[in-house]
Amino acid sequence: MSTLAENSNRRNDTISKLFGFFDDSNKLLFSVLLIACLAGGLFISGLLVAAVGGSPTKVLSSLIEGSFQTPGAFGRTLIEAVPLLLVSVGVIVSFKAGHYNIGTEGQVAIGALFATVVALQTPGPGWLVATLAVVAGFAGGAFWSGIAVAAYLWRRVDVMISTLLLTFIAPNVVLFAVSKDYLLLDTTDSNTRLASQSERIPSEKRLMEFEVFGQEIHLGFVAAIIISLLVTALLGKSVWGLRVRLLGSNFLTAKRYGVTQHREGATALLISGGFSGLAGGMIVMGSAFRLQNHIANDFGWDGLLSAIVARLSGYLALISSVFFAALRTGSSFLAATGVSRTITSVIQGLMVIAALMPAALLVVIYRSDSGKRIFKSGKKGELE
Amino acid sequence: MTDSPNVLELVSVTKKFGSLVACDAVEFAVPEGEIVGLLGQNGAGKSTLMNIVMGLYQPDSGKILVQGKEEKIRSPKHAAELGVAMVHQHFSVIDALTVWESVCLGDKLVRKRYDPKAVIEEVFSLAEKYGLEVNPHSRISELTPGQRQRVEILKCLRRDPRVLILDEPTSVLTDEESIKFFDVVQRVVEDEGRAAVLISHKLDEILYATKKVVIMRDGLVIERFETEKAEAGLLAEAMVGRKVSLRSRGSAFGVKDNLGNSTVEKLPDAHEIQKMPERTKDYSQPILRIENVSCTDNTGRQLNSFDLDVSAGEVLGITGAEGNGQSVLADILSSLLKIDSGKIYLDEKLVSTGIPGLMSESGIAVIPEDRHESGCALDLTVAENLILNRLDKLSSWGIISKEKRNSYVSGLIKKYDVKAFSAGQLFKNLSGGNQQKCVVARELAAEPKVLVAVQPTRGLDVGAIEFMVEQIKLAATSGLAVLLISTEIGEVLELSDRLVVMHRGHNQLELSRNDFDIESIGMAMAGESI
Repeated sequence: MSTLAENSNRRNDTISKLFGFFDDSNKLLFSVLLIACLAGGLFISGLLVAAVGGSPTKVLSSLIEGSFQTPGAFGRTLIEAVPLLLVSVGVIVSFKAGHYNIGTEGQVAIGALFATVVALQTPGPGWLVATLAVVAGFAGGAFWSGIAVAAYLWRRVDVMISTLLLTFIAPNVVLFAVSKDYLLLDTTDSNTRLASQSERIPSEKRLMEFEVFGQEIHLGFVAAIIISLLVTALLGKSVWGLRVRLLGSNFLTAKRYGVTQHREGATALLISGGFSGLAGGMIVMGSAFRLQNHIANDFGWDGLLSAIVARLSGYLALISSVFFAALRTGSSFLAATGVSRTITSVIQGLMVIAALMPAALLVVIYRSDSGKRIFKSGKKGELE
Repeated sequence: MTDSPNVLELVSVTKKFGSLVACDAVEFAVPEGEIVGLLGQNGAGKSTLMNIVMGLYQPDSGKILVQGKEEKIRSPKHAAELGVAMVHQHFSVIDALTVWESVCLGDKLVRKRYDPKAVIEEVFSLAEKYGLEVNPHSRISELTPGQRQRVEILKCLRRDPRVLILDEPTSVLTDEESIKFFDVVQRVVEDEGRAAVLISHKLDEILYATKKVVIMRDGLVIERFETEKAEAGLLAEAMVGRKVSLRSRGSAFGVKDNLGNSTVEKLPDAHEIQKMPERTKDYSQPILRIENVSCTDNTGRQLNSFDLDVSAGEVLGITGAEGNGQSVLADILSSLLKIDSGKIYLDEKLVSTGIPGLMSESGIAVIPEDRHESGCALDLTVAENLILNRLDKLSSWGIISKEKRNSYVSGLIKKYDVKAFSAGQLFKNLSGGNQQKCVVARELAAEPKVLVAVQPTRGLDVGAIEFMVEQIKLAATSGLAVLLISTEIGEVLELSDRLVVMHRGHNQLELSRNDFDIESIGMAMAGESI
């Protein structure tokens, strides 16, 4: 085994330990720790709010008000959750395959670019164009992660690094596209100052909107839920899913049974990028309706974090993405409380740490003298 | 009763984990100037007992006397203060550090500073005193396992312990290194009035190094022997609690002339060989044929124009000193390596190499040397690990059928007596022996034509070795061509119908069972042509 492979295997091991998806030695203890950590994270958030002179309860209530209670807020939150969920599912697929695609932000932007091009340039019935556009979004994201895949397969360039670096290129590609009149720059009368943006997506080509319980949502919401449930089920129950997880767990064993980086590894990364791109497509076609260079607007990063908070479970990602979306929509209501809206970023960060904490804590507990006395007895197969 | 006082004494020590009694009223004493062997299978309670001595566990009842004084050992630190030191089975030294840094790691510091000069001086003098040659300035990562072991023991001795606890200290050492190691331990113990406990399941080293031996089984002390009066067979039986078949005993003992057990004794005698199941099969029709294969792996190990054939029903043993191409051969047959030249035929059909999964699909089952490296996926469940080579059969439309999987998996778990809480348990939470059983189960269940077993008994206890040996025999009698790649000559001699000695990637010597001859095998291993 080459040193490179060894190193990446060792790192994978560290990362998977951190996620601790894999310690089923004491589920109860783990759940208790997780809940305690999340609660602790929220508590520290409250302390921080108090420290800057705000009122934790007021901040909480305005966050809830802004994300769920005001008219239409719930719908807006759900619409924000769509790209977050899609990004999360993509991240989960690649992480399970042992590849750490952290370039989702860039893939979202390129997905949005592809979707915009198709939406603006393709004639035809609105629903068809909208569908083609989001599919193009998928293709765009897959293309962007595909660059990292190619570099990995060709020269074993570390995926974590290449996807990250590609993220810094993506918004500039988009900026280039929306600032040249021969490309996507909006040259209609409405954009007299020639701001760097594309034309608006005509309303008949947008994702179909409808109302449920008084909340406006669009078709992408339904699609995102179906897709993420489907992918999660496939990861768990299909041959493909098992092969992907096998690759992530031990690539040499995988190779013995015909699972390769060229097939399963590359596919997982392409799908992962594709879902981020699909998220970008949904943003353009469902809520932004035009392309700007900062179209990704942290959806990629937040989706990545949301996947981590969901501890790489596709089902939990349904919840965590709504939570992250609520922080995004609710933050605009913080102005009235006198607390900076950036507090939501701090909360996000604390939640990520809280989600990763239990695995580390378990190690600490198992290593401590009293922990050994109490818990090791439950860990069978280690008694010798 | 011995004349010398006991440095360490355990009186009626009991430790329970839930309903499991790990140590049941254990009496154990280590007199000054003696090495006491502690023998037992995995799970017999040896490690628990020593963990109690090290202060990792508190006993439920009973007392511990250190130098005649009753002590309640609270922690490893406390144990160290009392003069109890442990040399661990797995090295506890850090790759990136130098030898002297490792040695003084964990010292109490004067004014928060290490004194490199003093430590280096000390390492030099200790090394000289005990004949533990090691350069204090070397990096741990550059050391051989034997040298690392020396660092461990230097680290221990520097703290001037009264009792040394050696937990399977030789599991990574070569025979020669083992002997050196025990010589040092004996000197330290006998000349300086210390004491030592040697935990091991290698019978030969217990016989070689200890004065007394205590055998544990299921938490109980089963037997105590004066080592002089003990005999390997007796020890093995006491350890397992039943007669162990000669063959598996052979593997457990290892063949180490120089550790005091003569090799010849452990070879099955002619009588024994005749009693082996009749194998009337024609060995002239090879199932697996390797022709003139050359190949280099990325660590530089090679096969050079290597030829081999194995027939159905035959066990072909491949031995040789480690690193003479055995691992390359195993990797090729695991579809992990592509050959540079030559041909490999399976059932008269040419097989391509280096195509992931192809060997497994074509019917070559492999029990790899290091199951954690290429034999399993620790983060997947037991069930998932068991079906890796049967995904097509157990699924329809790409979805794994729960029913088919469950019945298949529970069948295997039952057949191979895998002890798991449930099939959904994570593989990494199984014990080593059960993990190995799972690997064997998975490989054999695919109805292969060829079984390649690489160091199949390494690191296993007698019971698990017996299981492995049974499986290898069964595989051969059921008509598989078995390739047994092992550096344990004893095992190869016991099991093989034919053996090949590899040297520098060549087929140095080939013998059929009737011509087995230790001397020529030894010479072939050293590269002499016969």
